[in-house]
Amino acid sequence: MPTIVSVDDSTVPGEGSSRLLLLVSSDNKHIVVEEDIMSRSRFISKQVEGFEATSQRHAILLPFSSFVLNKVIEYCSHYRGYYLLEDDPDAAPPGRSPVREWDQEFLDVDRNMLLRIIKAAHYLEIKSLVGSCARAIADMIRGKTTEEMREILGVENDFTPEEEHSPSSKCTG
Amino acid sequence: MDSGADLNEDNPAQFWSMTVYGRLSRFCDAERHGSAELCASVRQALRAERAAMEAELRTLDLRIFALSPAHPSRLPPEVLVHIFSYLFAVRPDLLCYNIKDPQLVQWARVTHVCRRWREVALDTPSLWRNIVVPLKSAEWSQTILHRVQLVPIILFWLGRNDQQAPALPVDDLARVEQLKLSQYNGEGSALVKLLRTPAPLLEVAEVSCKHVDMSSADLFAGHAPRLRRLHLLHLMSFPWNSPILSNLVCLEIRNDALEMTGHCSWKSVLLALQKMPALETLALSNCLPPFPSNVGCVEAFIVVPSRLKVLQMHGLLQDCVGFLQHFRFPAAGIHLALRCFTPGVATDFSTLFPVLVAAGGASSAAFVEFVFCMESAEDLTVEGQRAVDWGAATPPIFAWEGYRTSRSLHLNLTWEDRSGWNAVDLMRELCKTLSVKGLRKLDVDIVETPPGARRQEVTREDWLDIFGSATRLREVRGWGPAARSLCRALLMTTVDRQAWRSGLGGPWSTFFLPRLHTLGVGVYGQLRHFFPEEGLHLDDLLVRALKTRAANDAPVHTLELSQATHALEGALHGVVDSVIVEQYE
Repeated sequence: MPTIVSVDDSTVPGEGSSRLLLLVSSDNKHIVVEEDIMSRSRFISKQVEGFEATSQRHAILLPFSSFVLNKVIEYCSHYRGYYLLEDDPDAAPPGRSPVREWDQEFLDVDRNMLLRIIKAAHYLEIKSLVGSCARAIADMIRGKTTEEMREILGVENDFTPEEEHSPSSKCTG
Repeated sequence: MDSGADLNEDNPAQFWSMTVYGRLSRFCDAERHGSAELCASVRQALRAERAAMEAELRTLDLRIFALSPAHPSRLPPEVLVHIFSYLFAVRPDLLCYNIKDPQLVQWARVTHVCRRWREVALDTPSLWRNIVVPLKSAEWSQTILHRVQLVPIILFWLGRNDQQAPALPVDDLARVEQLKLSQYNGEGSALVKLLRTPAPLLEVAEVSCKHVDMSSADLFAGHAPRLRRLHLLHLMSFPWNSPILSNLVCLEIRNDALEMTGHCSWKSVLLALQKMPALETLALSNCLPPFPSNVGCVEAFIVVPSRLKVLQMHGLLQDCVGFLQHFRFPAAGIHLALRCFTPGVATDFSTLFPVLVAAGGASSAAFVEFVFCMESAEDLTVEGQRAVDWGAATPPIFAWEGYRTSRSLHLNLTWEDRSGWNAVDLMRELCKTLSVKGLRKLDVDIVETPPGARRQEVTREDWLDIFGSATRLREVRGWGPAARSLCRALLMTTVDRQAWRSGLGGPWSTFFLPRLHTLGVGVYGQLRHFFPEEGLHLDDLLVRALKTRAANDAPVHTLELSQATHALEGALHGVVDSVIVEQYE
């Protein structure tokens, strides 16, 4: 769960229809963003609902770096006001999601960054971004051998020889 | 230099500096005083040192990354499942017909990457619910069913005969959500038995099995409350009075020949359709019952499918007319594809168009898309008896207004020159009345007429003349000779067609079909057809046309090409977005 701290009203001007939120990254960078932009995040929306219940403004501390957070904000800003199927509670299964061209460019980052973004998106409950990242990762390892998958994603083979060839691990008939 | 006692191992920079220096110092003399041979040898040795260090660095990177919070083995299980799901997301039809293709089970290799991935994959039943039969063993079948747990199953079964049927992993359809069954030969007794069991979760069913009689009303034992899409191919009969039909959104019944038409009455078909209020797509091919010629429209059997969007019909003209007489199309318009014929005699389409007008009304929006296929003379023959075309002075299609506002046109004009009309002339006449400027999609298939016929084929000039003003065309597909001349026309730039025809030339600034996005070329093995005027073979001509267009802001983005050679594919690299090989095989 995130830590929520009280903040000064002057730090976060929150009047009018376009209220501002203060997000604090793990490297202690303070980022002010319009609430409307981050409404795609169910996590943030729930936090904001909590603020309204206590009639206090808060900063939201997030467990990932400002670099990752800025990428997420860039994604949310791009799709501000758009309806995305995956962010709907009755989302379609991932295999039926459309490919969005912009997402492909947006996610043209290195492996580590991609994994950080998907983890942040999962934390923030942005299903559409999780879906796009998952698709990008799947595309990286599609058609590859097990060894190639390990190499691409930097995963170590931690099976014992017995485990690796146990009958329960069979994946094809 | 000895890295000795004062080496501080708590200071990595100092440690590695001293260690590397110590390791490399033995080469110093060669750098200063060595002969050329010695230098080359040392250079090689240093490269080997660097490669070894880089390998160690990669290991170090892996160890650092392994501790990262975003390491794949630390991703939340939901995220991993999401990734695995995308790996699994292959087209079901490919899955069915390529069950031996390792690519299609490749996704399951994730269970061999690491322990955590295996745990997550095996603990996620939904990943395993696509069951492709025949499975290699009963043991594997049980393993899969165990992994699926209670999740609804998607079952694909592709068998060649009854002997393979026992490999079916389920006795009933209670857990099946999607079903695709296909059997080439045999009585299909195992399939019929399966299809007569209740299917409480079934949403989509596609069954293709020859010689199976499903005329009795016990399809899914009358219990498939969630069934929305039903596709039946090659079945001997269909139970039109089944209660499972009432919730259907899509119904497709297709047969190759007219072997199914005698098993039900036209009244039962129309009554069944009246009870399908949600129907959006209806495709009936060679399955309509006989409609008596003297019945006309009977009020009690009129069908008003308010949500219908697509209607595809293929069958005897008389039955299609009888059927359509009882249809009232929704005001929003429908996509209509008709393929009617009368075996052995002239097909008199004049009875069809008034019926369409009555069904669709006079509204120009009645037909969003109209595809009308006229059969070839060969197709109309029965037992060697040749058909004659209608013989009328004017093809009856011109009497019907509905096609004029269509944005999509499919011309399948493959009859011989018998009635005074040949294919090209008809196309020309058709396009005089058609609003060609509004066309977005065009399919042209015109048969190659035998030598000596009055008109040989669609020429490049025909393309330019007839479709030169179709500047909004986005998709064009041509088959046979029409495709060959289309490739030639694509090289042409034209503003003033009259000037071009009179040989005056001019400052051409617009390519023929300037907004062309998708090009389909079905040339049936004639990629090396030679054009004397251009001095080029068809494949070279095509490459030149596409490159010229790409260089002049009129690129073709998608090329669908039959029988493309790999060489051609390579030549097209960077010119088009994709090359779909064997599209029209």
